[in-house]
Amino acid sequence: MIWVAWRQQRLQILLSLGIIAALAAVMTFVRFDAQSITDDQLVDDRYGMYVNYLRLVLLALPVLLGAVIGGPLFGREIEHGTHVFSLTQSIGRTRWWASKIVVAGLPVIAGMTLLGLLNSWASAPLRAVMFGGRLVTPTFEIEGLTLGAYTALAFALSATVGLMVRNTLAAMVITVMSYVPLLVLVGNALRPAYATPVTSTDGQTPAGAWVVSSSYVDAAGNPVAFSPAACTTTNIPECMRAQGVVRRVGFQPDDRFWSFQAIEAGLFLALVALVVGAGAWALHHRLRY
Amino acid sequence: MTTIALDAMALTMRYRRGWGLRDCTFQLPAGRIAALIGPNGAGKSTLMRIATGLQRQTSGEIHVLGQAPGKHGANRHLAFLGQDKPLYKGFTVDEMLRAGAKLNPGWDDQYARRLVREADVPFGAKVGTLSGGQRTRVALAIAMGRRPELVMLDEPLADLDPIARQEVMHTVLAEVAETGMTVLLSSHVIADLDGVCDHLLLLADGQVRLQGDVEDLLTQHRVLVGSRELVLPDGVVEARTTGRQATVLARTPDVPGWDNNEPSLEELALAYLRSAKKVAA
Repeated sequence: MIWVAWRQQRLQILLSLGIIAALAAVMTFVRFDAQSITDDQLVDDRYGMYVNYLRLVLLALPVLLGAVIGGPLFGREIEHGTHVFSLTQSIGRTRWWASKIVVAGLPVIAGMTLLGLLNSWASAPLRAVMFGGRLVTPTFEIEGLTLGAYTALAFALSATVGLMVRNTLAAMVITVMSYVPLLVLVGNALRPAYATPVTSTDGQTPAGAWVVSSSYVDAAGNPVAFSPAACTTTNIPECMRAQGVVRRVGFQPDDRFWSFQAIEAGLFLALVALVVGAGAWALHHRLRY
Repeated sequence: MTTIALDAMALTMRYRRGWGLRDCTFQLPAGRIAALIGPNGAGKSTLMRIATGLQRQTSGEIHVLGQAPGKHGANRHLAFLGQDKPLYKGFTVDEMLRAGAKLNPGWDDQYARRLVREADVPFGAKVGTLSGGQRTRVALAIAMGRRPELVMLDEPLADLDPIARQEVMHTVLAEVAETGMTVLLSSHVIADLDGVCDHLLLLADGQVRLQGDVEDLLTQHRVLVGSRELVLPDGVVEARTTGRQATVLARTPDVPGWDNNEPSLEELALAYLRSAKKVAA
């Protein structure tokens, strides 16, 4: 079955791996080139646009590859009626389903994970020209383990929806429509709370910190209202000091990057398990001729 | 090898739009070439899909070569050729045969390839470019390459020219002669099955209307021709009158007073199909 699955999906698999390899080559080149430039301004001149485009591409790539490989995996087979052939051979439907998922999904998920790790390394000399630290969107989404985890979810979702709705296009559309809000939700509602933020009241945050909350407190630490409009001077810090108000900032320090990556990857892998479980159920209870 | 290839007990399939099968009970003895006859929507395909495990029945039981179709795929010794002859379109014929080998332990590659060669289908051709007839031959070769004990063919002859029909039936018959394989063959062209099938399973409205060895069935039935005033015997399946003459098909020994003839398979099947239609209407 492994050969059959490979033969059926090889075009998409090779194409995806080709895209991943091309991106990896570009990233590697940029890393060495940017490292050789010592002036930040020159790096920005040369790679400012590159950083923006790379972000766009890497943000879209997981859901794109996941949907393109996962959608037709069962969707097209059912559309063409060839699952009738596959399911009436001696191998069982569980093996058919599992082999297709592993053969089509594993290469691209592994490739995207490596690409994310490579990007962490390749982006190091560009850090100075990037906005925000590594924990900030969109850098967090395109470095480290997240690329692979997002791809895994998009792929699993699109394969499973294809199996359920028996239609490739619908599977792709539903995947994109549920993937984007999920990513926004996780980034804004869950990720800031992966660990208790460090608080600072001296107006200083370490380099690369991700500010997740900000409020005004009095000397005792109680939240107070502060209205800059009521100030008599244009110097805001001075005005705050005069009123006995300090700004309290909650932030996630940069060194939490890898633990946050692990948490987010774990979260997405749990979702993948859930989706795959639903697919297994549908395989046995819903998929008929 | 079990002596009963297919054993259905009160097999019922209920769709949202109506009945697929209703209380179907029959036993298909091993080694037969059985014709599965019925009008469109009679439940022929439903029956085959349940037997292969593609579909699960609403109630009742079916055993295929002694085993209930489970979730572990089709019975290893059961080959199925679907109505649309599904094959992977992007594969070449050669790759399709390779797929058959990979998906089936006990695959007989030499035999499958011989069947394809005999059908004059080029091995390098993409499946998607084959004619309907060629596709059927490849699909049949893959079904046969599994060396099944039971093969179910859903409308296998539908898109074949007369010569190809003969060749396909010849392939099936040769395999039967060699291995004692059981065949269940559905068709609504009864003429194709005459002289080939030795067992009949007639479905209408999801129910078994007639079943048995063809030879027995033919000797048990009579086509009676005579005056319409004559008294009808017991066991009338269908009676038609044209002018003053009546033609009756009945399950009966010779009836005195009538002109008694043994029916052909086609006459017998058509009489049952028509009578089933009348009852339904």
